[in-house]
Amino acid sequence: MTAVTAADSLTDRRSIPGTGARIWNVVRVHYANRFTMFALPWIIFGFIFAVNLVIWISIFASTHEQLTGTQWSGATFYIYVYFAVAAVQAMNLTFRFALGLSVTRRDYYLGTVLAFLIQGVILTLLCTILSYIEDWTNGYGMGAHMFSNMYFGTGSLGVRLFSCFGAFLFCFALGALSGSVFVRWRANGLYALGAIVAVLAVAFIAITTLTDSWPSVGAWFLQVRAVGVIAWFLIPTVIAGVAGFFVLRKAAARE
Amino acid sequence: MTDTTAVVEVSGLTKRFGDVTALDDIDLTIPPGAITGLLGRNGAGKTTFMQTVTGQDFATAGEIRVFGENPVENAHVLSRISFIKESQKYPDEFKPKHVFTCAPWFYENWDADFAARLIDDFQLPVNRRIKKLSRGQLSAVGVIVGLASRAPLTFFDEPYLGLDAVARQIFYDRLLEDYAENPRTIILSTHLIDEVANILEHIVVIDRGRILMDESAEQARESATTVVGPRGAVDAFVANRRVLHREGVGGLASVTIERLDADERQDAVRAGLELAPVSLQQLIVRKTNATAADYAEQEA
Repeated sequence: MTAVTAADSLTDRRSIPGTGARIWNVVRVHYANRFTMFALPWIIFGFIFAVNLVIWISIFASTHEQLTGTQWSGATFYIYVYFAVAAVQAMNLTFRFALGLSVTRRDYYLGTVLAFLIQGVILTLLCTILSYIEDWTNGYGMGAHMFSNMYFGTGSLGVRLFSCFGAFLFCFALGALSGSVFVRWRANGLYALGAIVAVLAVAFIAITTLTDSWPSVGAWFLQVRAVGVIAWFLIPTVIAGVAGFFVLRKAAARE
Repeated sequence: MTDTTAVVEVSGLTKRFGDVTALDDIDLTIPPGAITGLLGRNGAGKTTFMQTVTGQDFATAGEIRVFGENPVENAHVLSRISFIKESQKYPDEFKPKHVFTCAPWFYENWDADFAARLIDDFQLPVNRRIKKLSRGQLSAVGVIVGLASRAPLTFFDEPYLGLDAVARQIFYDRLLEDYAENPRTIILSTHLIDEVANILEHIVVIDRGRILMDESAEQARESATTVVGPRGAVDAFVANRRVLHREGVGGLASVTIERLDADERQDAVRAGLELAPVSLQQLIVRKTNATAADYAEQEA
């Protein structure tokens, strides 16, 4: 009789949830604790905004002049970096938990990507809406720019959405790759990954310097503008995202 | 056609970490619908065995079949497995209630009422951060998930570190009750051999990455006997047998040897010797020690 029980489970392949449902369940794990995923990023987001607002107001109050140069504000960079770090952290914390709940690494990775893409969509919408608010209110009446910055918050609606989301994707992909590397090889893996990135950067700088190409690099940046740079960054984004998948697939869930 | 009666079947399973061989060419079949005890010393390979069989770690060599398929990255197999381990990590900000919210998404047989009852039994504070739980409470989280998930194949790897005797008894009671109503295959690894001796139906002993014993609990219990009596008579009786353990006080000796058949038992009684059963714990300690002695002899 007991043997029949085992045989049933062997042949009965229909009863498990489909791929989509399994991946969605991983997304739900990431959102299970509402505070870390729903509240914390936006608290940080709000805090950065509040700090900027205080600075703008204090300058505006003392000079009584419209602010200049805030369109080069890099304040929103912090939010992107935050999400990169959050991705590493989330993977470190939930990978072994999810595997403990009999999740495959494949479903886990895809679910994690989806969970963060949702964050990316929210972030993109928020940043874009706020950039328009800054446009319409003439920078809260002070000429202040945080979201309507030169990198992600100017140009047409499509350009703004693309810039915000592209920058998010790039940061998240780096975070996901780092997270996979950390989960698989721990800190030594991250040192090695950092070394590889450093070598690539140094090689780029060396080649550019040796071939006297800095003027053309500068010209290229001016020509493609921020949105073009972000578009080109989609290539390393895809490479990092795919590499993270394959790194994680062989990661053991050990102590 | 594959053999559908085996839930877990491994052959030639080997796992090395650098130059340490944690599992050494293991062949093993776990009987379905039974509670199997996976016993052995620390570092014997119990956890590594469970981790490779559940696809959490990767075998260096050999073949693993769980429900007839390779378990690695196999959602069809893994969704039928619940693997509860002492070292389970939880997300930092999680409270037990978050764990019990997530678990049903992954175990289709999850019984929420049963989980609620267990939370009550173990007096687990579900709203306290996991990081703030005591070791025993942390173990209770795993035990509750393992029981309430009712996975067709459930592993408990040292599930009750820090649980007191009362809580451990609750675990055994609930395990047996639920197992009777919902038969499944359970593999339990533990150090507290005597405590679980009565609930185990099958015994597997791992030592130094190899299978030392793989038999039904009944066979295991009968596989050794202690012969007690005057030293001379005992020595004469055990002369050509493999001695698992020997102790003595004054002129009395007590020697544990391997299985005796009915005739041999009669011989012993005629020689004025007393035969005593060997507890599972003693048996395993003695077999493990005897094997260690054999190794030492080989090396000498």
